[in-house]
Amino acid sequence: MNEHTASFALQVREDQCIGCGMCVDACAYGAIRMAEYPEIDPYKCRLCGSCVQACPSEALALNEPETQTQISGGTSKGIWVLAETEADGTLSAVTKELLGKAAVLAEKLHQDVEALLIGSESDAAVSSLAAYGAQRIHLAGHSSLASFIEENYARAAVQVIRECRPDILLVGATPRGRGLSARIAALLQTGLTADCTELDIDAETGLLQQIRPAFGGNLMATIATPAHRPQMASVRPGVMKAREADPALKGECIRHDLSDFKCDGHIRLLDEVLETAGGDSLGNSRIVIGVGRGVKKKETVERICQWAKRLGAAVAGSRAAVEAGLIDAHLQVGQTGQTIAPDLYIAIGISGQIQHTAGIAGAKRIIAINPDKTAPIFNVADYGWAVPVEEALPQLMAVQV
Amino acid sequence: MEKTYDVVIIGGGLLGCATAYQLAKRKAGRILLLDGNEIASQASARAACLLTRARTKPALMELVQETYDCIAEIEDLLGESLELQQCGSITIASSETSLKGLEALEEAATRFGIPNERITKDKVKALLPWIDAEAVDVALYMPTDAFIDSALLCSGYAKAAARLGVTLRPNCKVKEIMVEGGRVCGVRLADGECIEAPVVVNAAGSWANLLMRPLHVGLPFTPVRSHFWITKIDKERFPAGHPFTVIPDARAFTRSDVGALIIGLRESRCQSFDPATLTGQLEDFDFRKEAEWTVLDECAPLLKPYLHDIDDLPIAHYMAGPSCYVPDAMFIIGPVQAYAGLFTVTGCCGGGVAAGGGMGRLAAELITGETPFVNPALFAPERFGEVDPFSPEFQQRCADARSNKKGG
Amino acid sequence: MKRYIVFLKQVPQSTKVELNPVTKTLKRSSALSRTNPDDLYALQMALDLKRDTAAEVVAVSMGPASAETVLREALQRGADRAILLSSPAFAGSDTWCTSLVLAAAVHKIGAYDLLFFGKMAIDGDTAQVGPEVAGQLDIPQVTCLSAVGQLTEHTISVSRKAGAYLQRMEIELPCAVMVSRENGELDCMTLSGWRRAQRQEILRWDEKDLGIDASSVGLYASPTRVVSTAVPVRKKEINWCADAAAFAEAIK
Repeated sequence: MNEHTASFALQVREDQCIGCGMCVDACAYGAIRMAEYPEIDPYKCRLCGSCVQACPSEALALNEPETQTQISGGTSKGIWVLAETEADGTLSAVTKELLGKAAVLAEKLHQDVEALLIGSESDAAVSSLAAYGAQRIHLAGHSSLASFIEENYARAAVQVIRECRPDILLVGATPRGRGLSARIAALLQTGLTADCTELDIDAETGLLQQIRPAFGGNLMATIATPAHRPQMASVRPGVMKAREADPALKGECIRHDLSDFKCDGHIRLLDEVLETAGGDSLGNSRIVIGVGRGVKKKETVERICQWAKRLGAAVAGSRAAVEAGLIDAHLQVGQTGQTIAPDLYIAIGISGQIQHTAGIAGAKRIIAINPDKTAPIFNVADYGWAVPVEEALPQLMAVQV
Repeated sequence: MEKTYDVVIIGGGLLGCATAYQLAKRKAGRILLLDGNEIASQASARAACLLTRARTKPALMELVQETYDCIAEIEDLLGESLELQQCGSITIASSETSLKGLEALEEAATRFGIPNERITKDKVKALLPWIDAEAVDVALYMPTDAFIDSALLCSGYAKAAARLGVTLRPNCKVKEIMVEGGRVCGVRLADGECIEAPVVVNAAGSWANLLMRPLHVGLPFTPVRSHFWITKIDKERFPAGHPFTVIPDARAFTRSDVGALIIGLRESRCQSFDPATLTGQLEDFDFRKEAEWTVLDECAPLLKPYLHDIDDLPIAHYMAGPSCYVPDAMFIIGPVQAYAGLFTVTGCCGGGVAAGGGMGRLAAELITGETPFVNPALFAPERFGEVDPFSPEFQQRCADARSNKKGG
Repeated sequence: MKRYIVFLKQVPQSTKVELNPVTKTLKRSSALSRTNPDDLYALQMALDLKRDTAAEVVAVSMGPASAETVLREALQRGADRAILLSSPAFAGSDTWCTSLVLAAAVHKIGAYDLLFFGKMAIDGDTAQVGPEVAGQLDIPQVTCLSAVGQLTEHTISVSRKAGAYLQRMEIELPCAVMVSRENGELDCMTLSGWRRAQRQEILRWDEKDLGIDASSVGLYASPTRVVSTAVPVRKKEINWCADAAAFAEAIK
């Protein structure tokens, strides 16, 4: 044992090791080699703890750090949602969803749901923040915040957050929200868990449990922020449930004084233009048909498109289908493509790697066609038809919705 | 799903699919073909795809001719093209040794009726815009040689077999070959399902010995790495459909690929793999990625006289795959003596695309008891006596068979 | 002369992980590794800009010793030098601690004009490290990059997407740019590039070289902590359709 492994956080208790090697299989980083006892390569180990969990004889231990867990309800208070608005000033769907989740968390913690709205002071946004459950609405308005510039929005957010010290801050994991939340976390020197699909409160510690897929979605990791505040999480759009809007609800509005606010002088916005909608018709479609690599031919895709037209559905594709040249890149759905939440998603010839299913988690109903009954798409589907695509298609053409 | 067949074929690669097709053509009963992955998705999707007609080894020209015949038949049967590219081939000699090889090839081609002619440097340059023709001493042109997308050919065999009644079950892993009282009785799948059959054909390629191991049968081959490089597209320099080349002096072959050049190179000491280390699919197998550059580094000086800017040529792709090499570089086709009903067709030695149709035919003929169209003794599985394919010494023997190969 | 620093991460060849149904342990489909795809596009952008402006391109990776292969590839593609940030003290770092280490490396490298990051790593999917480094250094961050325009002595012009808007901006250097595959095309590698890269040295820095306290990074210093991992619970029971009629019923 060298000086590094002696002080390493993951320790092997040789007297308890039964030499079964399950830790080796459990390690996703290939950091454990089985000699007489497991040998851990500290340069490869990420201290994820999978081996500790896998070990049947408690021979592996992850030394717990001696950081103090800050009990909620201390100096930090409030479940905050960072509001996002659309080009027309209305509230983004993800913000409504976050408010819905925040209400559930707030109830468990006996705290309030609060929203932070930066830049816009549109009445529509303010009243819908209240209607969707924000009890307090923090407004951070300033002339230099009219356009969304991450650096300026982050500065404004940090100023208000430092003043009010929320316990929890939730942000939508949208293209805007991801970059903004990361900068806010860096400036506040707090933790941030990206792209959560579930949030809860730990009954014992009152900590926010931030749950997100790991290892390609085959495991769900629960992450906590024990000592730093606020506990920050970005949340995947389309996953949480918004509450029914109640127009009778009136939140308390707090206008924060940003008269001293200085925007980032390194950035000059030359112009901004509203991009014409066209690429985003996927997002508005009630029915989306997803094409995967299992649809081997371009002609088959064309026939699917004809069928889609009759159904009034949009056609999208998995990354594999895009790479195979079956579907245009801008119609890709998944982790590296768009996230959609249609009423009905029909997956044709899609195997269902997390890369793709990450983008359809919000779909109300998923129906999959794939000849392989064990394809992972059937793990997320409500209905499945195990049949080759070429066989299914002529029959599908006759189907109306 | 059916549980009883007359023949079960393990392996949906070129050899398994060709055998299925040839058996179905001979009405050999109810046939099932199994593969742990998709059909035509493993080594058969990583081949160089050259259909070189002229061969100096016995029986090989007959086997290759059978592949050409199969392609025509299958296109007819399915009513679709398998996209055979008749681009011609040029074998290049620039040394005394390679000239001897070229002369032998010339003699064999002429004997078998394969069109061939020696061409001038100017003609070489005209056919191969990329080549530095000065380095070419003698060039033998065979205009009827062709290449074919091996995955397309393999699916062609499979589709034709299915058309003739063969059941295909992809993504269906075989766990073991079942035997009883000295004969095979079927296979057990990974999920426990048993399928009964009096005849089992092991065409599992690189994985074949893993299935034979519990039966204490060692097939005389091991997977040896073959690889090729594909340049960036340059349509003027590498026009689509120009002749493929074989350059023994450079241990190289080339062929066109939609405006790019595929370059196959053979290192001086080829890399064999212990079949015990194979993963379920080749995508996950470590072919030692660094070879993309270490082998190119070793081989580039040999190719440089023909392709002066090889060092600075943009490389777009690198593809490595296993070829099943046998110590005498001949295929393994026929019955396995230890168990009645157990057959194998494997040991492609880098020639599975070209000879696959013929290998499948010979296997089918041996299974159905027809008179074989070539001498089966050349390919008998037991011709080396007892071998241990899991021993490093034997694996080295197989790797040497590739290292010492005379052609490209 | 300008200096561009590119950050590259070693990631698994495939993020597919199977769960052994009996032992409930992870089965990696592959131990093979590669450079995170987006990071290569980040490197390409730096190399493309270098073509127009005299610059030094420095490739940086944080990870185990095996991450050297990622840096070797960066050198082959044309990076001028490479630095590996490696230490057991870094193990278990979350994105915040990772960005702390990377920011410390930037300070040690010295003057710089542009930092390039891949938009997202395929094994973590956080898209956080780039913006967090920019935040720690308090320099502008260009996320959702659409295109890079003119680069002058003190500024870079970019266009980026901000929600429904396309913004054109002029940003003072230094700044951080997040790049993805939509932002360009990779050049092919060459043998001579490989040969050159084999001769180059890769610097290795640990926490002492970076002048950071071992206790300020790694698992214990990370604000976030993985408290548990679990196999996702299947919430849905699937209904199988036997034929087209059943299917038609299902999509109603």
